[in-house]
Amino acid sequence: MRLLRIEMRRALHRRAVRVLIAIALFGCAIAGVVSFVGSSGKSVAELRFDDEGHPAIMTEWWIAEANEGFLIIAVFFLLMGGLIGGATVAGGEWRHGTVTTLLTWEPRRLRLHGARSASAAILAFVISFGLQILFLASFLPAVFAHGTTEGVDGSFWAGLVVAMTRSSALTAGAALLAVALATLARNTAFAVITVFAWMVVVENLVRGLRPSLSRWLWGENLGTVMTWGQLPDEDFTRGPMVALLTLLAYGGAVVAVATVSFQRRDIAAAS
Amino acid sequence: MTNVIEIEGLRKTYRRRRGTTVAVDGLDLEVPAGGVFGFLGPNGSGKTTTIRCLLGLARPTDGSLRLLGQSVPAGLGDAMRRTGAIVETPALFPTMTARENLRLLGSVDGIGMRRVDETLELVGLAERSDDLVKKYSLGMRQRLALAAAVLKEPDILVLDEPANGLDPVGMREVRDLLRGLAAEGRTVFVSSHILAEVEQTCDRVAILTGGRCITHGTVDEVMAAAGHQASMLVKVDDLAEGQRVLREAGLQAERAEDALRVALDPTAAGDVTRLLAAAGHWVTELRPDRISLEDVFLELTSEHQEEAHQPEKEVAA
Repeated sequence: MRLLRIEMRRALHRRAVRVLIAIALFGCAIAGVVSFVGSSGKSVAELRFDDEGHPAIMTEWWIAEANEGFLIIAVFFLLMGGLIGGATVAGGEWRHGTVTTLLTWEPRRLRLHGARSASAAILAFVISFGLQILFLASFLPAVFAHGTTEGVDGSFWAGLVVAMTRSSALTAGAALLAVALATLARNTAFAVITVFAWMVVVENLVRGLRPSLSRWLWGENLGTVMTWGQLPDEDFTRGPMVALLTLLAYGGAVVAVATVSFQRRDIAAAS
Repeated sequence: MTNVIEIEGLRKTYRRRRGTTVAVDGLDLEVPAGGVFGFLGPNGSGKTTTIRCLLGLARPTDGSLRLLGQSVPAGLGDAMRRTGAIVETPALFPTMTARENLRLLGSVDGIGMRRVDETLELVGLAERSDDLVKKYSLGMRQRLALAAAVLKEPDILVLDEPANGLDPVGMREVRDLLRGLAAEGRTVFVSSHILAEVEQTCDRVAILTGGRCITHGTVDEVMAAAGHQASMLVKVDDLAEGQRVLREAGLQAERAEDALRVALDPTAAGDVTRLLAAAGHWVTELRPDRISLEDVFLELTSEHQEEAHQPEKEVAA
């Protein structure tokens, strides 16, 4: 626990982590202003029947039955933030050589790597959850000034909290994956570029050339887990539980390889 | 006397594109408890690799290491609680203050703020302890790294070039600090290129070249092993007569430029002056003929340079 607390404090001292949080807070403020300005002068009926919905109608934040809502907008950015933050936490240690210093205090590498991975995942979860609250709270002025809370009941809040928890867990997973990749390569950029190259280039190529393999792609599995429903895609027929297991298998394999690598490799000076 | 470091047959190789580089080649070393032990060698001699293996940062290709009686790496968890270390460039969190850095490191072992403040005072950083480390000079970072190493009040300090980046005042302070720690019964194992510092600080030394230990022992033993006896330089007006007098007395006296080199410990200077004075030769100058550790180091390592660059050091893959 002591090591976990230390790793959390170290992670929060990373400039990149602080910048990411600042950008997210700025994004929340912008979202709040846009929703307020966009809803002004409109009646509740106009807002309700807007084709894309409007966050001034509180029930549009998350529609559990349809597995969609404004919350989804935040998820993409949170996953990116989790990825970059996690990569920075591990990559920065290698870049500055602080991993060497820490290993002279805690030479049991599995403990250290475990604490670092866990701290990145826990922080990603908590920060992600907090940012989602702020993101949705930024719509409150628009809700109270121009919109409505009609239809908001216990089941709405329950569905919303479950969706926020799910997206926070996915953000934690992204951070964990990034820590593993950055540990493998001893480099922040490697982790970020690898994930983006995989998601944007490789997966799009597979989608175009071998759509039957789409059930193995991260994108589809992520979308299924996030919405916890079936994707409207005839090539992707997996349910959320199988999609979750697929993602866990991918993540588990990368984390295992990174852990073994960290346990066995020589620790060089700052790279 | 118990050994705090025991290294037996340590071998460390690195795979390269064109074969294998041998960084440490069958090193045997024992470091007794207490005192300051100098670990010397030219660049690439395997000092840092040995320290890395000792601290579990690198895996030996062959051989065994024990630190404070614990096998490395299996027993490092226990051994490192009693070991402070600096390895190469000191690396601490640049966006934290010195105090925060030490507090965070100290919390790994449950060390409190009072000890952190004591340590900052000890290394002369108390006044700048609330500055961010990224604003520190190299010398200040080195002091902070030293603070991190002594923070847990270790039984042994393993320091890789601790005087790097320090000005003369800083070097003197570090020397005093290391001597002070040794006087408290701790063992200080220090690798360094600054041989004048080592000579003034260390009780024992080991000299490495080409990944092998070529000599070790007390500083005097190493000097003697290199074939350098204690001697003194004596000046008299008539060198030839003076030499004859000394030789007749059974002393070894050689001409050395404008003086005589007498193979006798300088503590016996009185005997020499008495002999010469009795024969009517007045000594105009008498001084110890010291050779430095640096001279011995250069002599010993240059002898092994050729061997270190033999083709067998590069084993084809």
